[in-house]
Amino acid sequence: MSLVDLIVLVGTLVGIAAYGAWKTRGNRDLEEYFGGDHSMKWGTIGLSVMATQASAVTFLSTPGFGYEKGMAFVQNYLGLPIALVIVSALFIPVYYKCGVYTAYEYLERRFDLKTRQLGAVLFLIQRGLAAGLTIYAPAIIVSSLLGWDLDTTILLTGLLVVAYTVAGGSKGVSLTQKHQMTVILVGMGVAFGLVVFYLAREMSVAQTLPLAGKLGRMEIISFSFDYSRRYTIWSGIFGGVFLSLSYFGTDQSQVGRYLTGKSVTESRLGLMFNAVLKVPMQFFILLTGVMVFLFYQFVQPPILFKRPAMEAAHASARAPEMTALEQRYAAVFTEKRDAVRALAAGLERDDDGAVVAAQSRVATLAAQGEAIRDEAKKLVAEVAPGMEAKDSDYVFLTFVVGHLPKGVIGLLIAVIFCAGMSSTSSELNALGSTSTVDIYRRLVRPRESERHYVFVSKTLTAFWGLMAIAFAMAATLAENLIEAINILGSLFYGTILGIFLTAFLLKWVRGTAVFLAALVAEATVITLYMTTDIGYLWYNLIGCGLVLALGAALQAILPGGRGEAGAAGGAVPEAGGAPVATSGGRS
Amino acid sequence: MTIDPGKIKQVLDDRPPFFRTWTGVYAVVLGILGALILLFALLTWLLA
Repeated sequence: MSLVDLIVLVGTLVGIAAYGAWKTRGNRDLEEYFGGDHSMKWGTIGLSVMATQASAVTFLSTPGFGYEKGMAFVQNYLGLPIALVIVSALFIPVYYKCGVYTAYEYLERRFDLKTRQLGAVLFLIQRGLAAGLTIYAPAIIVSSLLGWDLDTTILLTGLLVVAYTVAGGSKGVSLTQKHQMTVILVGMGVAFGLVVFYLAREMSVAQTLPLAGKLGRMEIISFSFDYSRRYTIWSGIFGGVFLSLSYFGTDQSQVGRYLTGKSVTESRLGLMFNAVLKVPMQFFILLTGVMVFLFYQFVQPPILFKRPAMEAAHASARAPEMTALEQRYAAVFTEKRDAVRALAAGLERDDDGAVVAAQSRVATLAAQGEAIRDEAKKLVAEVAPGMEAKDSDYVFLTFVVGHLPKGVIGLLIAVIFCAGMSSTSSELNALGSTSTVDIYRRLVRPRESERHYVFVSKTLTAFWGLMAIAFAMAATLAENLIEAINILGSLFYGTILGIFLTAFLLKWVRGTAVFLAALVAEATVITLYMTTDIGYLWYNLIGCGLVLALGAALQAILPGGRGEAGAAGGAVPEAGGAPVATSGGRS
Repeated sequence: MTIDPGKIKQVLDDRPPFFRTWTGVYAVVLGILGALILLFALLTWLLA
């Protein structure tokens, strides 16, 4: 990496972090530390919510997906605007009316203490582990491509994010995210502009999309009812609504973002900002991946994008086999490039016969190229057992490092780290607020001074940060840990959403019923996970459905039966339940 | 738990800028989503 890139990278990361810490120095009470003093306007909230959701993986995996499979993945986001409208209409007024810092405080208002604690603990387990992943994911990819030491990368980026999150609290997180998101949008815009500029050497800009279409990368929407298809408009809308509702409505890392708003209007506008911009943003990131795919039709890509996999093969006794595969791959590439040029020329002339012939030739050669890549992956698996040879996450950064000018490389690597740090800071802030407000202040020391709680909040935020760093460093031992964490998240998300939907929709169901239902649902989900092969995303639906159904059924059986237990957001704990805390310093 | 009457008023009086009610904002947001889906369908039909 050149000195210019290093200056751009370090200057961007440290500059934004220092700005956030400086602007929010001297937080005095929890209202200021976790509520951000309720001074945020909709633009900051909108960018903060967007930055929290868009992790480093978004900017590594999404272009990689576009490269490998095309635009279909954008359908996964079609349910998100609908979910945000529901959160805006249903969840936000209730959270504001209750004056809560965390989503789980509301559960005590609506149900009882044990349900609040259950929601908080499930969140802490899930998000505590995920925070390690958000530090680990960009570090493993960037360090392997640039030859940096992985542990040092994790430690430096991890400590930087912990420092400004602890110092600045919720307001610090929102302010830094605003600037991080700006860097991300500018960086991705520059990358897109440059790849299109490079492509202009081979074809006119107007030709790029038709050519991408002929190469099978522009099937954006599928109305197919075939359940074996992973991405269709139906799974995107119905599955997307469900997943986004649980994430934006009940995950404290998001709830904490929009509750920093100056008013309900500002929070709602922040979410509507995301509802309008998120789908186009994902479309644009995928399209960047498609443009990189077109670029690599004319410039030869490496046989495998994952450099450590290549190095492992070349360092082994079977290096000559890998070299032979690379030569065969290069020969197929040269033929394919000529066929792609013929296809582009056919499109230019509107010559259908030439287009069909060239398209068929390209498809044959692409299949040959993929077969050679599969052989290379198999070779890597044999010489380096345990090394994952899947390399789509490495495509975009390989393009950046190999083909973009000095300075822009530093900016794009800053984009990746900004995305990782913005997600991590929200997670740490949410973990700190939940463990302070829902556990420490509610159960351990309920009557301490604000200054004491701010100190405990900072300590717990730092604790979660150091745990996340330790987890990220341990994660280097097992590369499939990323999927393991995703599975872990799905094991808990459904139950948490089920509790909240019961609170909002089944107003006659009380605390004990929903608590027992949540325990049974969680046990069922874990049992299913251990005994069956159900795809893990289904656990979200199963967990949520079980809580709703069992909660309603148990309420009918339990003493007291079916009777109004107070409106959503009302404050009637069930009889015999724990007294309601004076939660939320704002009440 | 005492709920701040000012806060309740703020929630109840909540009005979006440029619109009479939030229903109008939500209709616009969902309308934009519908337009995007149509645009994506059109691009798929033209290019795929």
